[in-house]
Amino acid sequence: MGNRDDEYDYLFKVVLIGDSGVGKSNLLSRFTRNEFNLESKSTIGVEFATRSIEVDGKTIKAQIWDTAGQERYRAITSAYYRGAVGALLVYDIAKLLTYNNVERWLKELRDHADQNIVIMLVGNKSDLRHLRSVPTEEAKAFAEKEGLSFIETSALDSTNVETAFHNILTEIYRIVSRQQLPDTGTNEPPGGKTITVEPTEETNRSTNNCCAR
Amino acid sequence: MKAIIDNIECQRDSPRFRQVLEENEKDLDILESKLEKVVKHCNQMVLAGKQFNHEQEQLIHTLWDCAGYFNGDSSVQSALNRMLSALGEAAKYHVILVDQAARAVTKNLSSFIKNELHKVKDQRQDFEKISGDMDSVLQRASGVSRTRTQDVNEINNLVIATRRAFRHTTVNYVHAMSVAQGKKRYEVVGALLSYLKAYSTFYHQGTDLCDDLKPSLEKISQEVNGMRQEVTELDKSMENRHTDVTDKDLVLSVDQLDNSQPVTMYGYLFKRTTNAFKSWNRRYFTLQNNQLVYRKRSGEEVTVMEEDLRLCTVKPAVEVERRYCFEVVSPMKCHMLQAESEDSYNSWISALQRGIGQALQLGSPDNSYLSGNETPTASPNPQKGLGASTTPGDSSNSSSPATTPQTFTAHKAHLWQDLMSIPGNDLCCDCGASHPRWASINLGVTLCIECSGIHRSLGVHYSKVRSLTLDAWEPEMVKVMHDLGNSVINRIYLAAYIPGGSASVPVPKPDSHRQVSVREEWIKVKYVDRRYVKPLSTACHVPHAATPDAETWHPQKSWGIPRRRRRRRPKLPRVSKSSSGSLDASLSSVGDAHDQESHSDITDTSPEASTPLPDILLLDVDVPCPRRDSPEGMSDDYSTEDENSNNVTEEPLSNLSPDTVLYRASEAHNLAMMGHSFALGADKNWHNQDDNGQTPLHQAVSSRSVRAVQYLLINGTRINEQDSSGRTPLHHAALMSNIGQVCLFLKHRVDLNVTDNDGQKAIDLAVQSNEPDVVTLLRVASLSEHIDRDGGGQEDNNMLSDFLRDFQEKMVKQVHDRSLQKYNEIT
Repeated sequence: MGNRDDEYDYLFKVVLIGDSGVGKSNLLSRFTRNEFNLESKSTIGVEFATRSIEVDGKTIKAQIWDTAGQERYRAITSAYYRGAVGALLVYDIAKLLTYNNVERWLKELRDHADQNIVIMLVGNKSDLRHLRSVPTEEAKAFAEKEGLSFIETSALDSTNVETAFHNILTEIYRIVSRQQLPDTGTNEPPGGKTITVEPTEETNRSTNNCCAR
Repeated sequence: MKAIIDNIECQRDSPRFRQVLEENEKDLDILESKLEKVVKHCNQMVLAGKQFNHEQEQLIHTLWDCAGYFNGDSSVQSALNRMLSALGEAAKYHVILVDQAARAVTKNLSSFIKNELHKVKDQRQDFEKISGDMDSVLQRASGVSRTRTQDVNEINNLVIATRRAFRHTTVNYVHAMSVAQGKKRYEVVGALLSYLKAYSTFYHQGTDLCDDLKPSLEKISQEVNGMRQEVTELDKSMENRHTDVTDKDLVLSVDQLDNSQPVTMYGYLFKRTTNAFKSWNRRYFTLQNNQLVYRKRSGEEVTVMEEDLRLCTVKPAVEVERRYCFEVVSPMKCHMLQAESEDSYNSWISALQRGIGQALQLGSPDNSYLSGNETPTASPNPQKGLGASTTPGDSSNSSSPATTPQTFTAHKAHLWQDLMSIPGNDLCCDCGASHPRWASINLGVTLCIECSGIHRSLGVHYSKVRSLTLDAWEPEMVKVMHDLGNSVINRIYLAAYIPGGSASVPVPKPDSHRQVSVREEWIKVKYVDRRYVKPLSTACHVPHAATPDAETWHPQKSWGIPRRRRRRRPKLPRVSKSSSGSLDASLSSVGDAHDQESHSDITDTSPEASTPLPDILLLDVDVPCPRRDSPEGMSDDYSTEDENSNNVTEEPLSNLSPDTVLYRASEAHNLAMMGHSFALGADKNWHNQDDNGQTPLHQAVSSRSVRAVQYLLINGTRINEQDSSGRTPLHHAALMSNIGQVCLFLKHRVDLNVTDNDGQKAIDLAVQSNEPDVVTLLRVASLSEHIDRDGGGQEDNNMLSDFLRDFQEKMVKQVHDRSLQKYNEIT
């Protein structure tokens, strides 16, 4: 566990997901310990770290779950997402395949996570400019279409790492502190009284008569 | 029938002859052109007929396909089948008809045209040629001078020869023409006749078919009317539903319910999520079987919100801004729920309150709903007649009020039957009362309610009592019960008991009519004093499955602890067709998953069936014991890696201390033997200094058995003992990636932070062995511990139990898939 601040106003669980090798663990270590390891090994199962930040004078403790991207190192899925309020969906800007798989990860999130979960699409390794294979604009457009926020980061040179976590935690905080959430589409509008029942009934009846004859 | 002209006329080659010829030629030409038209149209008709037949065939094919759609609607399907076979028959007739048309008309007429009419034409050419020759010869003959005699003779000869040829040709021509004129009559009529005969056959066959079909068709037509009628009625009744539409919230009113019936309540509630969003989701809640469960409107997944209502309270939530809110509070969790109307709110609160009340009265819930095999609307199972005893189909000699199998849910009933099937378990272990409903889980026996009360009074270090029908049973617990049972345990605890009674054994064995005080003394003597337990050197054990009551004494030459062979599960009668099938699988498979032993256990009974080996229980080396390398042993022993655990030792048994016996028995996961050593007072935490300072629990872990670990833990074995390298059993389980055992240790609150001599924690070993499941479990457990220690904030911490549940479900699924796969391979 990272630094343990016992005093906090909010505790948010955030999951890091994305293909193997996109730099999830390094994003986490950069954010929580300001460390970077070029030769880090594959994450096995799950790892955790925490860090607290201040937003609007409130202390927010982020409990970040770093999951294995590699299939054979992944354990069961649904419990990972239970209680998660944020997800950083990470891809590697220099590896197109990791970007193409983003949709698969989104589906997994939508299948298992809370429907209100805040998702941020993160294009990591922005330092590899000469190897870029995913254009920023394309990813940005995709994120907009899917209703995700978007940022490009580099865990190696620290670009935007702080901002990414800060943004997602702030966004979650805004939603949570607003308290009065818009209800989530499950309750139908009560305007059902003017249903055109009568005509339907009439036509039904007349066709009946035809058949009977 | 005459020739077209008489022969004299032909010979004369008169103008009349020529005229007749011309007339006949014209006549035959007209016939030919007419017949050719007929043939042409007939050909076209045959082609069209073939096309029609093809399309009809396609139609019938698609209709069959369509009939397949009604698979399951037998009346529709049988009607369609009947009619389609008739239609197929009729189509066949049509094919024949078209074929006949081609044959009768086209073929016959074409051959007539070709063979006769064309022959006439050929003859005509010959005739015209010879006629021309004749003319020119006569011309020449006429011009010959009378003086030239030689020329006259020559030409005369030529005239004679030509005239002969001419006359024969004439005869041939007239012959062909006459025959053609004659044949045309019957060829044309005959062709049409055979065509019409074909038609007649066609219709005849059709009539026969229709006659045969008539009763069926009438029946089908009645059925159709019936179907139409049904829909008309349905339609009417559906229309009438409009009159029943109300503006009110459709709330189940609890007050109308009979208080003796279990409360069942269902309907939509809003549920506040426990995550930081605190958003509200509308879910369909069901209160039944003393559980509160919910599901989404779509999707199969059912979530158990509270699995034991006894632990819950319900109270109105007034501090929330929303209307109609109430809270369901249990020791671990607190759920905020919102009803959609005041009626609904009141109903839910009173249903929950009454449900909690009933749960407290009646006992615990069951998990059948969780297994997903029952719908929320399944009939509530009245759990009256608690403590009454019966087996399905036999309650005649029971003194208690009889209950029927329906008083349990399928799952419970199945579990109960399962445990009853273990040898000896159908009678109380201590007094012999029939149909015991309680159990001592650490002893592995079943008990009647009176004896279970006495067991309780002994204290949990002697006996841990649970209800067979009311408590929730973990799969590993069931497996422990399976390896023990009343017969096995009584042979251990009553080995020295002489039924007649003697001076040395003053306590009479009770029967179910004895007073409590008699039983109490008996039970104390049996389990606390362990007066009738024989020391290992004189104890005798027989394969109980073969001769369960044998008391014969076998001389012991040497001893061994055979690995426990899995007792074959008796096939139980299905409780209910709909649900018990998969329950059966899940019940046994959960345990198997835990043991990580034989997935073959479920499906693979064949080796045991083919070679009826007795279940070897304990020490008797006279009984052939399944060796590791035997095919029978392979099915569940699984242990090629621990080569040093050769379990048949040439060593007198009496030389071994109970501690050693427990140690060895744990290694062989032989629970009955372990039970015997418990009875002899073995030290459950004994460190074997000759074997790396390991304890029986270490041995059980290396045997890969979950049940052996469970058996030790519920008998008070210390969980965190270290061997001489400083490793705990958890270290070993992590190193061996045994998820079942790791889950079990976590449930028993193992210390995660013990380090071995190299400073490694169990989690470090798990990471080294690259096993994501174990790593995840241990990390989550550790995080969960941190949260608990920090006070965790206001959030409920169910993290670990969530993960444990997921893993358990996953293992069940894996075992299920594996056995399914195996099944598919076999079939």
